[in-house]
Amino acid sequence: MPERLEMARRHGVHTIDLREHHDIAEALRSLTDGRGPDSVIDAVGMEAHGAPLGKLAQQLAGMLPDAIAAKMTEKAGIDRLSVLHASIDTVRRGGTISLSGVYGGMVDPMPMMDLFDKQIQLRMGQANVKRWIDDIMPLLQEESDPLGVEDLATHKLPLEQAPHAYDIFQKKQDGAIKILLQPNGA
Amino acid sequence: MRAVAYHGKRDVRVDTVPDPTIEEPTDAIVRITSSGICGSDLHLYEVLGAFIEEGDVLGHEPMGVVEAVGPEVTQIKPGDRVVIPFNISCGHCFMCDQHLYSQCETTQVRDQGKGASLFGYTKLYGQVPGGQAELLRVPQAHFGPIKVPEGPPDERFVYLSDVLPTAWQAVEYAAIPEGGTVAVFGLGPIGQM
Repeated sequence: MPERLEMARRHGVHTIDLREHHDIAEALRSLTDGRGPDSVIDAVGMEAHGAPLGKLAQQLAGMLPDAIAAKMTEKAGIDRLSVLHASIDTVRRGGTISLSGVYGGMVDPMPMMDLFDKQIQLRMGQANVKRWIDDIMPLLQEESDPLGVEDLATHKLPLEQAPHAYDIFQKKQDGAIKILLQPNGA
Repeated sequence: MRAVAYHGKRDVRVDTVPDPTIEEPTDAIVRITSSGICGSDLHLYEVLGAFIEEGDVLGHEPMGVVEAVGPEVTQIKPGDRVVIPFNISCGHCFMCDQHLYSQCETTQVRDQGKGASLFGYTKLYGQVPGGQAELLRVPQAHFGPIKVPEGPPDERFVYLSDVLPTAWQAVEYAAIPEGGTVAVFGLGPIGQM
């Protein structure tokens, strides 16, 4: 997903592509004084479903205060629970994992020993949209578009092209990252 | 009107369906100008067929212009430009009072043991017609819709419906210490934000 790495880079994130790392946690520890990042955000969840057969690329971004980031790509075999487990492995002791990716399992095996031993705080759930609007709106009203919202949609298509839109979005074809449907040619 | 409807695994089609109407005093009807496709829509597309019926309209990231309001909706009026949050929440119950709008007790789907109703997201979440359509009936419109100014393009505001608050909450819930480090797994729209 080079276009996704490129999009992150455009927002000032300095990337280092470490394609050959088998151990994400170890690589991130080496960037964070040997401990691992204070926090991990899982923005993947069940997204592995529908990915093309063959290699699944896992992208990881770590951010340091001076906006240096390391990106890593792991090869095939990361399924939905693997991201959660990688998060547990990666975060430092006493740190926090925030799950925004949707999870739907009811009998997922969880490494409770690791969670307890590392004193990890785990938070998750659907967004409470109205809670955050007052925080976000001022940023959207700045001329410079600091959140980069006008840079996110890769496709704006008429409603009638919805079947095609879903298809390329699922297959990550044609550089699709975010698609807006616009009825009546808005 | 035309609307994006589920017809089976990897089979969405644009159907002609009846226009929505005001049903409750707290409803509004919005003419949609932009509606995003969410990564979680792909779960409906691919794996959640057991919970969705053929003909259900999808979409939970809409914005547009108010066309009509019920008698108990006073903070928006026809002609206003609004973004519609994906949560359907009343704004005045035990959960909403604590800002837990995703757990609203007025719209909670009790027969499925689930939280607040959502637009366009299966029987589990109320089987409410979604926003990938020309028109949308918005329940609880006395509380939900977010007014936005004229001028900038839809792309400036449409992500208030889901992408931005989801990413913002993910960061808040990550409790990153001052000057601390955070690793983000996943570079879809949420990871990018």
